[in-house]
Amino acid sequence: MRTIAPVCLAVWIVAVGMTAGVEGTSMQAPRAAAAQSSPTAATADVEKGRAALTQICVGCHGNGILRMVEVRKKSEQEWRETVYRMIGRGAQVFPDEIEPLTAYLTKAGGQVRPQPPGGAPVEGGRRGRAAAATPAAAIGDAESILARRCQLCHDLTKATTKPASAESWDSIIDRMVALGAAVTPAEHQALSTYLNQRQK
Amino acid sequence: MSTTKKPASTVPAPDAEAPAPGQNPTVSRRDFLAATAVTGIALGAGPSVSALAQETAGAVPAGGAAAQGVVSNPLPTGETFEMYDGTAAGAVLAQLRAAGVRMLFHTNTSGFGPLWEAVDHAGDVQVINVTHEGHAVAAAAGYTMASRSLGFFFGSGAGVGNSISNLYCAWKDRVPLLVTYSHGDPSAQGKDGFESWDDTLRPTEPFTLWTANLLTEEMAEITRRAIRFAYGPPSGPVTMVWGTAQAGERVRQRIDKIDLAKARHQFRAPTDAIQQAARWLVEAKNPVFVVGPEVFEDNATADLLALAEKLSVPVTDTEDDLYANFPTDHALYMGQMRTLRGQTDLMIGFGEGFKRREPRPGTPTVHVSHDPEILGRVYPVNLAIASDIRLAIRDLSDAVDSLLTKDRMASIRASRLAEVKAVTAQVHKSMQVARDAFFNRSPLSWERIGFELDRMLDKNAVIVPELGTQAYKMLNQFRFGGENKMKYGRTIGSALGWGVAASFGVQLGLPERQVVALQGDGGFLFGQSEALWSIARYEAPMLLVIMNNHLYNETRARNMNGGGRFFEEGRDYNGYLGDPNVDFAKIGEAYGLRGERVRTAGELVPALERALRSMRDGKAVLMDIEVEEDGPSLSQPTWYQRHSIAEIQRKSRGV
Repeated sequence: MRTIAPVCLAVWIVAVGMTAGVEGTSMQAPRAAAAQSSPTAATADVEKGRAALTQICVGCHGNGILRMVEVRKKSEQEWRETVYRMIGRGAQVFPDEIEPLTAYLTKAGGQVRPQPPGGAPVEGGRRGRAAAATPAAAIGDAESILARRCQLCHDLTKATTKPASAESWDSIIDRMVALGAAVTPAEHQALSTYLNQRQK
Repeated sequence: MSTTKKPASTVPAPDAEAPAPGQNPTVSRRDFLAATAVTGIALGAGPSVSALAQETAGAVPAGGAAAQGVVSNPLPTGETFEMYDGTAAGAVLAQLRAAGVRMLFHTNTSGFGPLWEAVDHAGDVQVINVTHEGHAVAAAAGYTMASRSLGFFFGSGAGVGNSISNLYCAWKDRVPLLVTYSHGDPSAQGKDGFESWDDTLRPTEPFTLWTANLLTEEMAEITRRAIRFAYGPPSGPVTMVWGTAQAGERVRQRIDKIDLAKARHQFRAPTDAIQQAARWLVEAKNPVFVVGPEVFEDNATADLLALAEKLSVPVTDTEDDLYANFPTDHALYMGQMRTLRGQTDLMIGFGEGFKRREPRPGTPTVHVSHDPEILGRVYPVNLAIASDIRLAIRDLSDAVDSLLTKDRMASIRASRLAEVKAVTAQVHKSMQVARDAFFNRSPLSWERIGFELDRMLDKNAVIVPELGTQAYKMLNQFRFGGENKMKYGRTIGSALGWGVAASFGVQLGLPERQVVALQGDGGFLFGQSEALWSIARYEAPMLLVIMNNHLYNETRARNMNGGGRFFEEGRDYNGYLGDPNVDFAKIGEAYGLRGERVRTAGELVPALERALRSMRDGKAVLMDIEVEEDGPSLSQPTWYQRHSIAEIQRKSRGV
């Protein structure tokens, strides 16, 4: 864990930066502050987050909330988005409680995904782990994603035929996302893996 | 605590209601309370609920002597009916018309010739054809909720089963309806004959307040009685069969005038109960109001707002917020009761059933309802008050006036408002942060869609949602209540297949307003597309939004909440809807509506602009919007248990 954690943090900071740029969110400052906070401050944040959870979240989720958090195994950014979504649903979380709550949830229900063969370790949720463990299912899944996401605009034969240019599938998918393709990060990964293997 | 030294006035207030039981009719409740507060007379036990039941608004002539403060003629004139000569079916219609009903809902069947003739002869009654009994009942319910008139349906007895789902929803929503079917002739019993079974209405009994046979010689009287049962309280559907009636036979029957605005019994609370609640309210440091559908049903929204503002009492609602009972952009609105943070030392529920969850265990609770059957039934409360909600709020307000000086009241109001505002301002700020986080994301966030709809629709547009709990991310972006937008639904019954037809009924009831139905792709696939036929036929220029994430998202999230094998494997048997990937816009176009598809955040506003233009031009729009998934993400989100009959056939052919 000692060797993985700094890399995870670096990846997370890059990911957060990219996401913030895309979303134009006003949460950039709190995220940066969280990344630079001292261990003491982080401990205090976690404790504040725990208090917020017991005061706010149990109102709807009941005492089973801790079990739910433990089971979910999300990354920090995924937990942050969960907090946002709960606020959208009406959870009365104050602005200064968002990051502490995220910190507590990450501590209680976070996960570092095992390093994939030949790749850098990536912080992430259960979705990627299960996909890596079941390659046959992943292929079927990628085909479903193709049908669901790409077929909206493209003929599938064309969509799965790589252009003559040197552009990678990753880059092509990125370009499609920029044009509005509704592809989630996990779907991006599944599609890229599938299309690269198909091209060989 | 100080009390006012307000002298008892001998002149009733202009808005005085019917006299309280046991009082001199020339003394208003306001004066009675003031007088008892001044004299220190202990308020004795009020009348029993059974005695209260006799004190109805109908017992006092409208605008009569009591309302004017003069008892010159306490008796009604008696000229409340007229005689009808015509067909038996026409007698039913005549009784409905005497209640102000001018719109009937129908689904295809034979056997109603005499009723059609009566409709044609009346000349002022519109029949709305709906292509399925269930949709017709939902449309009638939506119409009733929005218009405060009475929904009346006539259709086939063979369609009883079709109608049951939305009959159940109307019962859960306490919507008064008369639902009538052909068939039901007792001579068919035991024969298992054509389109018949024994006791045609028995399947409807759990969801009705009364079931009846329309009898030739009593058509009008049974209709009048059915209206009485339907309005209660509690209100709800009544079902009837035409099976034994000779609908075309000539009859002479009495037709009673009915004011539907007063059809629901309006009774007051015992004085001592109101006084007790008022004392608790003025003594509480952190009281909270929890409001429910009866506030809207009893026309009490303005009175509720005034009472809340009087002492700056925070207002919450629940998941059963069928209507917009309180302005959601008001500083005192605190969202749902379950999300309330901070301490409370008194909760007063107005017209909320407290059926889903206990109002804060350990917190003293007052439960006010016009339905005596629900008072304190699910959870024990400290004080249960049976009363019309508007009258209870007015009485409580008067009682508070009698207990506090103006200075003391102003002090409480100001200090508490500052505290509540500090909380609501923080919550609103967090909501903006959360909305901004997903604002430009594709698939679109629910928050973004709600935000744009609230911004672009008319200020008084009407929203009819039928969505899972994700809907709150969207609905919390709307400003509802007061002078803002109105909301009908989601039906408390939650049986999917209600919303499209119900929203059409709402549009019939409010023809001059923008009406928007919010549907999930899953909910729409519960057989709702046929309701588009009526929307097109009657040129209802509505907007139907399909929140499309190719998923039964609510179900998947709930199934995965506790973990387990399928959660770990990242697949679920039930959720995925994207194969086939339905083109909902084309479904709309097939019925003659304008179809719109929104796949990215950038497409939303231009599509809404086109939709609003179409609606202004009189053409409804079905807008299919690609929205985000929510809840646990799965490794195999599109997995489902595959089964192909085509493959079986190919194999059988050896292909």
